[in-house]
Amino acid sequence: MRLRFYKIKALFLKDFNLSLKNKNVMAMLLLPILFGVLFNYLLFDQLQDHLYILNMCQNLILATIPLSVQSSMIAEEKEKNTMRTLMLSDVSGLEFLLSKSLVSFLYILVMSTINFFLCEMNAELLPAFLGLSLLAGIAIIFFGSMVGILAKDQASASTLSTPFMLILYLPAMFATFNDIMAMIGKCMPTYALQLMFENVQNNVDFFCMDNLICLATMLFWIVAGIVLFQMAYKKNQRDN
Amino acid sequence: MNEIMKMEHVSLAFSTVKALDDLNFTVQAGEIFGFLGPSGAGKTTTMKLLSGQLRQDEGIVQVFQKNVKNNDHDLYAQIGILSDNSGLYDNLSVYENLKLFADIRHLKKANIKEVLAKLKLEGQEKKLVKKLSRGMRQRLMFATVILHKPRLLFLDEPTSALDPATSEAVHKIILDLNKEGTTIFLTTHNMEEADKLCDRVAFLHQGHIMECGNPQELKVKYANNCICIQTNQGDMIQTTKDKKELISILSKMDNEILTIHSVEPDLKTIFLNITGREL
Ligand SMILES: Nc1ncnc2c1ncn2[C@@H]1O[C@H](COP(=O)(O)OP(=O)(O)O)[C@@H](O)[C@H]1O
Ligand SMILES: [Mg+2]
Repeated sequence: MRLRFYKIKALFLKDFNLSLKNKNVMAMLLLPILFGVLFNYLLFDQLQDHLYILNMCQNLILATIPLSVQSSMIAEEKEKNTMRTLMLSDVSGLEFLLSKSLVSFLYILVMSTINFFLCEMNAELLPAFLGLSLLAGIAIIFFGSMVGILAKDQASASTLSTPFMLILYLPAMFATFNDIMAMIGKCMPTYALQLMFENVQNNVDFFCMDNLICLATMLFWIVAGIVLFQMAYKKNQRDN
Repeated sequence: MNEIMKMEHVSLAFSTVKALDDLNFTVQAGEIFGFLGPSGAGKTTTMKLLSGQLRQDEGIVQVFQKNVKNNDHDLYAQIGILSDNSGLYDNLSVYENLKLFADIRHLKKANIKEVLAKLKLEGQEKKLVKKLSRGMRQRLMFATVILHKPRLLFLDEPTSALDPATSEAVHKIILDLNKEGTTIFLTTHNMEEADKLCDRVAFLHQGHIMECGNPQELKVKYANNCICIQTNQGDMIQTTKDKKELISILSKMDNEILTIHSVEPDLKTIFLNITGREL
């Protein structure tokens, strides 16, 4: 497959422009921010824990953007038959996927930054937080892309992505409450991000055993995601 | 003339359904080649093979003297495809749609201006695509596929969902493009359209080419030597081109002759004769 910069640039501008006009996408972007504001200003007195709120909202960001936003952007192109028009205009599948992913990554960075400051974190840690969030985003994006390719329209994309969202969101949320949840949580890029960022905060050596396991988890998700996405992509081509 | 596309002994089955069966034809540079057949005959499938969207089970598919590969980017850079379900970006304006496809193909703004003029879309640039009429939308579809001046254009039933007046406008676009040297592969189930536009047509029936040739020549071939004589009293006499028979009929006639002409079947009738099926 080919990768040409001018095509990706043209596609990225279009995808970003269209995402701003897509109500589904905007709703999903607003959700974590809404929660962030709500938790920080209404619940902080009871919780007294900014990190907990940060993690909760970050899990939501990572369960929505690379999954729901990504899949709904791809499904929109399938629904309106524009994906076919692009493919017949000499756009490769990789260029199509990359431009959508760049939009998702941009949103992850923006939303993570907002979340970070809403939770009054130490600004020095922002680059590490964004880097790790992006890594977790990459681990999830192929699943979102797979859902988008398998769905025939935006409605079925959101139905299909819901179980994935729950899998990514719930174990990471409740890992601290329950051993089994903690076990499952450790297999999720969302919880891996949480653990690694805690280690960054506590000045633990980046290449400690804990972090290596987390990185292995992310790597596993990336590889599995690529394989599954490719299968979905081939199936989609055959069916058309 | 030089050959721009060819199929040799091409067959394709979808699981157990044989969609195409031993297709053989060539398309010459500069012609409008019509691929005619009822719905389900295999027209779209043939177009997908020629444009690398599908692969044949057997046979040779060549475009520009090269075997067509799956998702052939070098090919897509040189051809334009208006498929039966191509889409546009509804939430973008006419200009934004054209700009996108121009940028994707690395073209200059001049190309956009040129197609806007050619397809009479000037003044519509700012309109959102979802607010366009069907006819305007189809014009814009055409504009996006000819932006890069392809020398070969695939059109899959370009008028099937249009009213007669809009179809007429699309016919003019097709003829103009052809006049400028674009080779056109056109599928349709509209025989009058094929008759009007095409230099050559192929009749496709259940994945098989039943007949192929110039519409005029086909009409002569299937005319059954029929001649029609019309008198000023309104009588119609049908006879054959046999000289003796003709003279004997004429000598027996009392009324004045209004017209004498050979009767040629239209493409619809020929298709019906060959396949036993209406379109
Ligand atoms: N993806 C597909 N899977 C299974 N059968 C198909 C597929 N595409 C087309 N067919 C079948 O192949 C035949 C030809 O279809 P098509 O080329 O679309 O016909 P046309 O364009 O002439 O209407 C039909 O019987 C159709 O049902
Ligand atoms: Mg068709």
